[in-house]
Amino acid sequence: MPATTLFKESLTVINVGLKGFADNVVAAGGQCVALDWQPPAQGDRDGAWALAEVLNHPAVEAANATALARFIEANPVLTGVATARDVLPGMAGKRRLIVHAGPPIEWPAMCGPMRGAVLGAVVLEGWADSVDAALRLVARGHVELEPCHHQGAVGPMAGIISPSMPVFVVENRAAGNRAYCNFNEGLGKVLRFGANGPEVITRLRMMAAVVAPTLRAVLARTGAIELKPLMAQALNMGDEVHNRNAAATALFIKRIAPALIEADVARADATATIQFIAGNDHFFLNLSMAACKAMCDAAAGVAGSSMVTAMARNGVNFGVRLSGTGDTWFEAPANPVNGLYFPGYSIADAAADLGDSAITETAGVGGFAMAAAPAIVKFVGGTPTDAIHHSLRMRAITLGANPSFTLPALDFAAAAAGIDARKVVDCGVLPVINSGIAHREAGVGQIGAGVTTAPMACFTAAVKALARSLRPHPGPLPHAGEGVSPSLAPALRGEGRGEGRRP
Amino acid sequence: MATTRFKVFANLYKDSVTLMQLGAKLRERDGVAQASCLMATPANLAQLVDADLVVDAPASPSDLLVVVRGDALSCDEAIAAADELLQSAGATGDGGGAAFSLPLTSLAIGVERAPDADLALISVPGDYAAAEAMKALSLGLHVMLFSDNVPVAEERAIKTFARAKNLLVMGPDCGTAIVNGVPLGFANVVRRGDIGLVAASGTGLQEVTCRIHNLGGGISQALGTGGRDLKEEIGGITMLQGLAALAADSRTRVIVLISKPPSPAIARQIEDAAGAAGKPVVVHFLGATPQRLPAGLVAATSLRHAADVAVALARGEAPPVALTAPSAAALATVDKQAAAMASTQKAVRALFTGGTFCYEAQLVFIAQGLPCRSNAPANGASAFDGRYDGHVFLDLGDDDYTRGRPHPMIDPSLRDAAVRAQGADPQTAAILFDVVLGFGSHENPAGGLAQALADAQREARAHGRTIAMIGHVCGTDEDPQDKAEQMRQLEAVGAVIVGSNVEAALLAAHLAAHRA
Amino acid sequence: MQIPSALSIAPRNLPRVGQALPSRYADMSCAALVVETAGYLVPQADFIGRVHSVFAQACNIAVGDMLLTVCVPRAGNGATTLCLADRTVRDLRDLFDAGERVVCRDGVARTGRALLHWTGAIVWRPDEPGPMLAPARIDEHLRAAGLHLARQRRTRSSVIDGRAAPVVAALRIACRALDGAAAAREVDRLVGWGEGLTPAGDDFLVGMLAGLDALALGDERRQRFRAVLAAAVIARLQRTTPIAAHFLRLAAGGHYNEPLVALRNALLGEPRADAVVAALRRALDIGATSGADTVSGLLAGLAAWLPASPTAASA
Repeated sequence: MPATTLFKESLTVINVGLKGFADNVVAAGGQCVALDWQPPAQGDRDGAWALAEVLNHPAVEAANATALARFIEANPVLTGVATARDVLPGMAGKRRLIVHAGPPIEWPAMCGPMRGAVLGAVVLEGWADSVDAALRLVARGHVELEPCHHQGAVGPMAGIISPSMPVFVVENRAAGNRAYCNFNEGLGKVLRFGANGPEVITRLRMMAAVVAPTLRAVLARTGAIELKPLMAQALNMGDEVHNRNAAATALFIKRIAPALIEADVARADATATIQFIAGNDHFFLNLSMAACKAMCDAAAGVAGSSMVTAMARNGVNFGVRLSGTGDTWFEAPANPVNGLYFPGYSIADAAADLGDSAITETAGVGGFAMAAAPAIVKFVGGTPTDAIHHSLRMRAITLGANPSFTLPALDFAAAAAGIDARKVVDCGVLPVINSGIAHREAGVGQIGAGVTTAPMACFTAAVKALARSLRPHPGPLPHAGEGVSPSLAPALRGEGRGEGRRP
Repeated sequence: MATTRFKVFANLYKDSVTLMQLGAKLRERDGVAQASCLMATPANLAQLVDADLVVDAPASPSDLLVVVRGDALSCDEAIAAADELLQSAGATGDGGGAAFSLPLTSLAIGVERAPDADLALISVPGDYAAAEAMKALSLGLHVMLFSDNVPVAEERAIKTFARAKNLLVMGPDCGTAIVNGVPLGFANVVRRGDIGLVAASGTGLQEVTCRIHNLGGGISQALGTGGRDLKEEIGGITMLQGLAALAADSRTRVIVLISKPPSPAIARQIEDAAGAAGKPVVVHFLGATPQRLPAGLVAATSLRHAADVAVALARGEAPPVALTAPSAAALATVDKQAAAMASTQKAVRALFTGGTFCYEAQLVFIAQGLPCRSNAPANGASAFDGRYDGHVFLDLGDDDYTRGRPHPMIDPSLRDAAVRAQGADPQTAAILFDVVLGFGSHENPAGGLAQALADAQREARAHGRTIAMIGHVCGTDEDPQDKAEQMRQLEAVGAVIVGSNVEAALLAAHLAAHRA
Repeated sequence: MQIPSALSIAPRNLPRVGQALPSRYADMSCAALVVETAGYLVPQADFIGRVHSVFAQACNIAVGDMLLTVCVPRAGNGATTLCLADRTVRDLRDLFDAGERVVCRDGVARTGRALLHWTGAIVWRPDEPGPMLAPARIDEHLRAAGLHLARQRRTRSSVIDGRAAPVVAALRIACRALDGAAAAREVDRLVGWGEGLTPAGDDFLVGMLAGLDALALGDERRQRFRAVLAAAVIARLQRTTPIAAHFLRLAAGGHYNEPLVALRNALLGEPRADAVVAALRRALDIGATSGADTVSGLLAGLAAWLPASPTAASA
């Protein structure tokens, strides 16, 4: 056996636990770093052991390197506009499927805004004449309900997409995977907050009849629009492309303006479209979400990887997916949102955290890029320095950084990228999410905004599942045996890419 | 009319030391009869019963619970004070204008902060300790695992893992080590030299390293293995690794191995490995002298003897024989005290802070056929049932006495109280004790002890009795406490302080034999 | 034993047990090294690794199962290499110590005396092969390469043309016949055979896998055979040196370094003989016999699966 590496001239100790030991080491002439230790995984013993099994595990490190590389290399481009029924596989034929935000949830358990939105969509599709009739239809189980994510899509707030709705088609040119998102309706009484009255239906029909074909014609002229450069520029202009999208929306309008004027569409339609987009500072959010989903999906399906590929909320539960654990959702009740309420509203009125828009944080923007949009911390009584610290702190729980997105307030450092579920549990630092707050009752709308975090229990469960997937035998064994690391698995053409990423 | 108030701090963790200190602070407040701060685990909640502080608090194991009993106003004020103390202890270096650094909450970030780190010193609750050790090992760090209550299966898993990576796990339940000259845990300041040690006993390691220093020798490395390393289920993994490391260490010229007797199979494995070390090895299995050792190995029969032999071998001299009787001067003093004793005084009451000292002292009595009871009985002693009758040997650092309170080496008040109580017992002829100095120990253990001894003697004298007080101070002249001053305080109240635990035990046994 | 208190004791006449050395990593006099090209398998994620070995012109950093090789520009690129931009770096042993930790965050890797920057590095990927030449032309290239190699072997031989020659021959036959079991048997003997950091048997296998890879596309039976061969190699990695194991692992995954890929592309697709010779020289110039052993393997692999020709060269 080779000689030990411990015997040297001096000793540097990392102290984990009681501080008195650290003080004594220093007093005795040694060097010491004292950790501020907390029980990991909220004190869950099995979770703590599973965490130790997968931290610094060579197979996991290699898998994460692969997943992160695919994420960073992703190039999401807006290739067109389609009708949901034509591109979401589950909606093919005449199947009565409506997709919603967040992990799976049954109709009786859905929160108010989501129920309202589902009913509005049923009326929109013509499956029922009225909201009441829609309620009877859905209560009897005649409408299927699935997460957007299961169909390759994302939707903000209630996130309801039904077959006749138009969706953006975003393709990751680096790997070929696609993601879809509906159009943002704007503010006020809108479907995504659960409103389902006639004006909501009318607006949705207008979007399908006017805005969608116009944008289709525009894109035919512009060709595919790369979304990462738009997002990167917006991040340098005060947006974080989740709760602040004004700059990105303006950049998008700039990009399509010439084509919009020259496109072969009725002038009235062009006018209506530009008014629709320009009147909604959050228009770009849905493009941002689709782009982020395309980037995250590129990283999915790498066996052994602890990289988070989805974070989503359905108004009751918060769900997390990892690259290395397939389609499994790891769920826990959503954390409360710490924020400011518009006059007349309070936390008693608030719905729980809702929407697929946490896909932006999953991709390293949104709350992770808070340094780019310091105004948001005013919602929680913070300062711009706090916004910067949020972004810096997220580096503790990510695999690396994304050179495509730089943050001026951090001396143009690259934004954190690739949330590592292991590091979340190990450090006790939760992913931060910038969130709008909806009223708990359907149809009232947004009543505030603020900052929340993803719940620890999701990541603990995910780490345990990952550890199980790596064990050769049941029971605690330190590491899986030596073998080919996933990243070095045979790279013959056709293998190793593209499989297992579709839910 | 006393009321009980409580507050739950959700998802707030503080270590047990901080909680005990906070509890003590709250109890000091006027109007507070009883107070406790704890993490709301089932085991901790059960302890509230004993303190008459049971409350129906909606708390989970990751929540912090503060319970106070007293008059209503004082309770509220105490809880408010606790709130302030707990919340203010938070910040990890961020907040408006301060330079940002990643929160130091994980080993990985710790290693980033100190990339040349060699070792992780882990003292977290036993439920999580092995997992933290595994993380440290997979980062390439050696581990000293101070925590106890680690399941044996986990100890085996981490030691097997460590061995495959050529890393050392010292522990679990390892309280003492000296690595690269730096004392870790409860350890003394000793000069560097060429004697290396591997020990399954913390206070045993302290006794031998101190004596080596006091004899003018020095230590290259002093490694701990934890109390369970040489059991069958573990198989001596760390002892064998430590032995091999010292064998390969150019600075080490003599090796000392200390442990309670392992099973014959493991003992043989260790002896074989020691025989192949290529340098002299002193083997001390407390209470079991090996009959036939391979060449190059010398058996020691006490901790004192182990140090004496090691120093001699390091100097190239012949190993001396072990001490079999106390010094003439000490004998004379004790005999004189015995002459003044009442006829009821026949028992030795041994009150130890170091578990191995308790064990070694029992071995001396058993070898002389003197019956003894103990809460940690050696082979041949009987179990202590709470009645002070005959010779009693108590290890006050044992789990029985340290639930919810600090170890007696840190907080000597429990041992002092036990000492004081012996004065009233007509049976007590002698009080036998240890005083352990060094890092981790109380800053003045002899102070309270001397007071307690004096009180016991006064009580005895008031009833026409005289008590002999026999002990030793385990420490060096370099330790943070002033060893000479500690000895002076004890001798000033009439205690006989000898140079080692075995000599103190021999002295007490001599008295016991003559009083039987 | 339970827990101690947080009492901090003021030390009294405490000797300086060891000089309190400032942390080497805080020392600002680190050499800043800029990486010009980074291999495509170099992780973009943060990592904590250890320096595995240091030589004058190369330093290996162990990160999990992988070895990243920091090297001077001359050495050539690979999937896991970091080629330095600075052509004045003399001896890497002045900058790295074996066993020291390497902490990498945000594309900067720190050791005790060096800071490696590769945020701006160009990612190296092997060149895509062009269209294949006519079989007869390839035969000519192989024959010429074989002769060139044989000339070099006269002065610098290794076990490959010595005691291992029968094993090598048997392996070629097994490849030709797509006999997985027989190939595994020969691999069993070749892995770890020879001396040095990368034993000759391992170098040969790397080259052979490169040759087989180029000709396995589209042929399911060949791909299955190749997978069996790769698995046989992986199963025996613990028999050889860590450095050789790393390159074998890469080869099993289809990853090779620049000189080998360039030579393979040249032999299969470069019409000009002088360009082929230049690529051959470059590939042979690695190590004392390491390059030659690898080239032997490459030629053997190509010959095994190219259309049979009576004049096909044997390496």
